[in-house]
Amino acid sequence: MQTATYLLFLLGCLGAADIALFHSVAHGIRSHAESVGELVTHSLRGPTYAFLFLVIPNFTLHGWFAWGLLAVFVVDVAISIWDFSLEQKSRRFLGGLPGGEYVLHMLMAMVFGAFVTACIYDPRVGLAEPTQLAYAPAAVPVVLRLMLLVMAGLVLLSGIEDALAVLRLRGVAPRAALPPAISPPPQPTPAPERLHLPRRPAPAARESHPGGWMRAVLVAAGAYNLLWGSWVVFFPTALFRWIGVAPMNYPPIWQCLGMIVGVYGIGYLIAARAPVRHWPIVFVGLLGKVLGPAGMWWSLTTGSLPPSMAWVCFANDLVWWLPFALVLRRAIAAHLQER
Amino acid sequence: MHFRFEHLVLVPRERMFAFFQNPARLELLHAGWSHLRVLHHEPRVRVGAETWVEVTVGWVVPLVLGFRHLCFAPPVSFSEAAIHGPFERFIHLHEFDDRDGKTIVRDLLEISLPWRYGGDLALRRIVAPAIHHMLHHRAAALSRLVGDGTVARCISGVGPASER
Repeated sequence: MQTATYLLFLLGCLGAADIALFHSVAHGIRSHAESVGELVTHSLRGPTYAFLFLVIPNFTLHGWFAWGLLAVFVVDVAISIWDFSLEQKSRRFLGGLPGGEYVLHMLMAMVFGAFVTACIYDPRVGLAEPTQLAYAPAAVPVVLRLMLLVMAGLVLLSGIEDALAVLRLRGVAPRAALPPAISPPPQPTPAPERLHLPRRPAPAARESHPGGWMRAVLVAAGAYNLLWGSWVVFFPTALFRWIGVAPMNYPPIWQCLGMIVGVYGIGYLIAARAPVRHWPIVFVGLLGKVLGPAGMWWSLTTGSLPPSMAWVCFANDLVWWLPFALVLRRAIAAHLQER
Repeated sequence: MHFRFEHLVLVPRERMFAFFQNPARLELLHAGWSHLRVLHHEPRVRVGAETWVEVTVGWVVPLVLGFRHLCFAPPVSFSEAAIHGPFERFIHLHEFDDRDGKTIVRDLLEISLPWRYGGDLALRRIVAPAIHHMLHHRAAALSRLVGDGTVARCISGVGPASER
């Protein structure tokens, strides 16, 4: 996966430039009602690329896992076609798709084609091999793999932000649909003596649902924990079969862990009702999500657990670090303000 | 961060205000030194009206800014605040002072950037020099437009084709 990893890194850099320069700074599409459709496609791309940034540099995929990777590529192509079909309408009010962004998209499409080709012809992606997912880092510098790990977190966060923007902008009338502006004769209004003008108004949706993003984060975390916990309780050997390692000698211990994860999910759902008030639940959750990967790291380095178990930490723990930390930061700010 | 900039224009205040109250004339003021495109505007400034412009930054990044006009007091002042764009706060107050038949055109701006776009550091290092640059060039452009009669033609209704 050496070539594929380098191409993926290049793709990540181009994508980051696209998001930062054009989607955010130039056009600010997360606050533009006409861009809701485009934001939906971007939110779907977040988890897709997080998966690629995590898997490509670190694992070999054989059998059904390799076919799964191909399915991810097909899904990404479908998302891109959908995205391209929406962009013109989405950006019409903002002056159209910028030339620089158009060129960047072309470059990204070419790099993506090269990346898919590199993956398909890589012996570490074995479509005809027996099904197996094995932790086997690509022959690239560790720093590059770490950067791709950071990129995985950032692209997932970007996708979450896009999804939250979709929720925020739902019901906001698109500007193009507003009635034409009327231009009555100018009516004088008193001139301010000094520059003490009202602050820029926040979006209406944000005003009516303060902290809505925190609720969304905690509902998502609660639902995820309940699903994961139920899966472990009802199918205690499934994960071990899936990643190709021997099952535990005492499945009830593993099922007990699933029960605890599920109970945490209920805690997150309770916290979602008032995230600032219920910050201790979020804090304990974040503590577990930090200590879990630490324990996993220790187990991997001492050989107590097989490397293929490591991916569990990504979805269970790592992706929640930033959202949980942001909820806690907001809670701290709110409590300080109260004092 | 606050900005204050003023310059004297050899045109009576009422005529200067009349020139400024049409947002389409922004393109005239920026012609030749900055790529600015007026995307949407109403024929004249009024309270609640919106003006959307695109300013190309670094040759490739077209920054779209939407403004809503907050006050309109002819021929003394008008102001607008950003409703779209990367700025956390962007308020621009235009004042026109009569000075013996001439006009002092004064710009008062209050701008802040959110931390994710670099906050105060980016504001001081990148935005502030660009704002100073913009206001100096606009002053030069305004003097030129007064000198070549463009301002007079615009006010008398025979301005550039884009206005007719």
